[in-house]
Amino acid sequence: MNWLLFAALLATPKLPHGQHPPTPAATEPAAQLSREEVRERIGGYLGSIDRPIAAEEWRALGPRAGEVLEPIATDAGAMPSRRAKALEGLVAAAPERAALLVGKLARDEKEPAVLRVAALRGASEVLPEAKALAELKPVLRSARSPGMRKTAADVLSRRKSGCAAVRAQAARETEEHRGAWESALARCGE
Amino acid sequence: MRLRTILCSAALVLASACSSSPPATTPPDVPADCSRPVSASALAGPQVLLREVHTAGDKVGFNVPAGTASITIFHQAKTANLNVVYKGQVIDNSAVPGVILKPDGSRAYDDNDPAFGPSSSADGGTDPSGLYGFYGGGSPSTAAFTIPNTAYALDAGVPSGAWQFTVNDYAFECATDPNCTDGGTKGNSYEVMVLARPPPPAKPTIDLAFYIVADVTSPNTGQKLTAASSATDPSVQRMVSTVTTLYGSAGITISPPVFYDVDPAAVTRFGTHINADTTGPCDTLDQMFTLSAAHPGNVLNLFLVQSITSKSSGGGSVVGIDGTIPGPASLSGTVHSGAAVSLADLFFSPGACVGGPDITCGADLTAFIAAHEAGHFLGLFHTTESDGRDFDPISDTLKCPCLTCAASTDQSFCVTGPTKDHPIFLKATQCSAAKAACAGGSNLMFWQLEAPISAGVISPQQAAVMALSPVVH
Repeated sequence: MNWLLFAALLATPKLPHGQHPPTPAATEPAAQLSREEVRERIGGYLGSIDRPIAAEEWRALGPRAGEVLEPIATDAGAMPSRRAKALEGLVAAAPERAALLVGKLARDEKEPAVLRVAALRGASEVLPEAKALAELKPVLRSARSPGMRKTAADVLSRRKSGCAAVRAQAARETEEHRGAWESALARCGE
Repeated sequence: MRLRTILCSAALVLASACSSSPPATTPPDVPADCSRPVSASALAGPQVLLREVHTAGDKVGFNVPAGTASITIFHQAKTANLNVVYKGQVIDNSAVPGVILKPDGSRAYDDNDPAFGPSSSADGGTDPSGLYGFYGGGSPSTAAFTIPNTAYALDAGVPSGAWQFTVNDYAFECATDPNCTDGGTKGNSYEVMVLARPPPPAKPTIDLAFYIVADVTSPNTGQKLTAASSATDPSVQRMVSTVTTLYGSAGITISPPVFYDVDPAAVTRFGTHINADTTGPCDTLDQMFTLSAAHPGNVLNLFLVQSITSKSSGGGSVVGIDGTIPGPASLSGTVHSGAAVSLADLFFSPGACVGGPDITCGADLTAFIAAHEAGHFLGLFHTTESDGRDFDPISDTLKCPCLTCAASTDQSFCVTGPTKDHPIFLKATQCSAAKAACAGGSNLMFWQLEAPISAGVISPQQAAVMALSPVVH
């Protein structure tokens, strides 16, 4: 079994090829980055192609990251995929700021789908369970795109309190689309 | 990560007991609704040197004719479990030739010999360019192994005569490895195939197919983007034109691509969000690739979706993801028959999207992503990985080594490796040749895109590897 298998041991499936997984947390604290360094690093993260940026990597940027990330996430004039990544970074690095945004972005039909998906997933991380359910239920029930409703179901099915809503909406979906709900329903014990 | 049921419980079963488990017709860790088609190659005749069903461990011989420029060995699971547990970790049961022997009896590759892993680089990290055969990992169920894919092998060529390889997967290796506590078996069976290809023609050409999986409205028309409307949509056409330009710079022609719609159920399931939290053969991403069974042919399939996330590695959104490196060229409908590309930015154009490729234009950015993922399918790796500690198996791509190019605050982590608290990322701007030894940021296969550095550069050796893929004609 060659070297790659050993590398894979610490990794989850499909770690980008040749990429070493981050080693456990360092004993020495992360260096305090200047505002410009934070901005520079965020610029790099947002340009990643197929290398996902881990929540820990966003957090390692420190508290200043939120000041840079929030304006990008909410900038309608920015590239949608960069906005989505910025929102994910905000969820990790400044969850209290993200909590004020995710519900609204997830529900807004005018926002790009990639951003709404990031907001849906972020909401489940930064909002208390009851609040997340309240904020995301409208997406589950009323999003115009069946795929967006299905994505909301995937997110809500990870919380027990979301399962009733997921089951109810699944029953309303047409046969054509309901097949895609299998994994969400399975998580809810169906 | 979703822990999948595997053959034996790692906590309860000794390796030897698990290893001796008799093979099942359908391994119990394969869900009933999982589709893992075994596909025939779109190529025929003398290029197909071998197509047989074998059990892991079998030694298989094949004869390489004179004038062969590349060979590709395929494994397609007939009966194979999905995972093994090695040192307590669940990992994909990747298929990879065990030992490949050249006609003179020397080893082209040996998956059990660390000498065939990448060696240390003088720049720090690892550099596999001096190997004859290089395996990138992550190829469960359906796998392709192409020779040559390294600088050394490009130079050495593919000798004619009697070759041999061992049918193999990690489960087979685990069966005799005491570090494996589950999933080890000698009973898995694969359809194996060997394709040979002659030297590329003067004008190597790739046929592309785009699958419109996303449910998206084009602002150019106000209508839903479909295969039919893609043929005239200005943003789609700009994207295609830019992919064509990028590959054209490497002497590779892109045929006018074909576009396919998928059925509404597949749009709902895959189109808005590909959850790549798990990327096994039975998970969403790989199951999406099986949609290509509807349109068989020797084409490179790109699946256009809205968003892709990969939470399992602790991360978030990505804008592209490959099936395997290389992809199973000439096979349609398998779990690795293509790559996924996000079209989230396709219609974004703050300016006019005119002139040459410019990644601030959304269509061009999408084209760079598509060309990058297609590069993986064709056998290319990232020139320098994001932490500057691993390099591709190509010697004429420029490097951006951590030890030389990282910020001063990162330097001390270049040897020990990044930590969660102190990640290292070498951006394209740090690898822009402003410092002579820090380059490669402009390459198509750099891990990151950043204006104005990213230029989609393809080196001569990269072009040679691409042109030797069976998908190129």
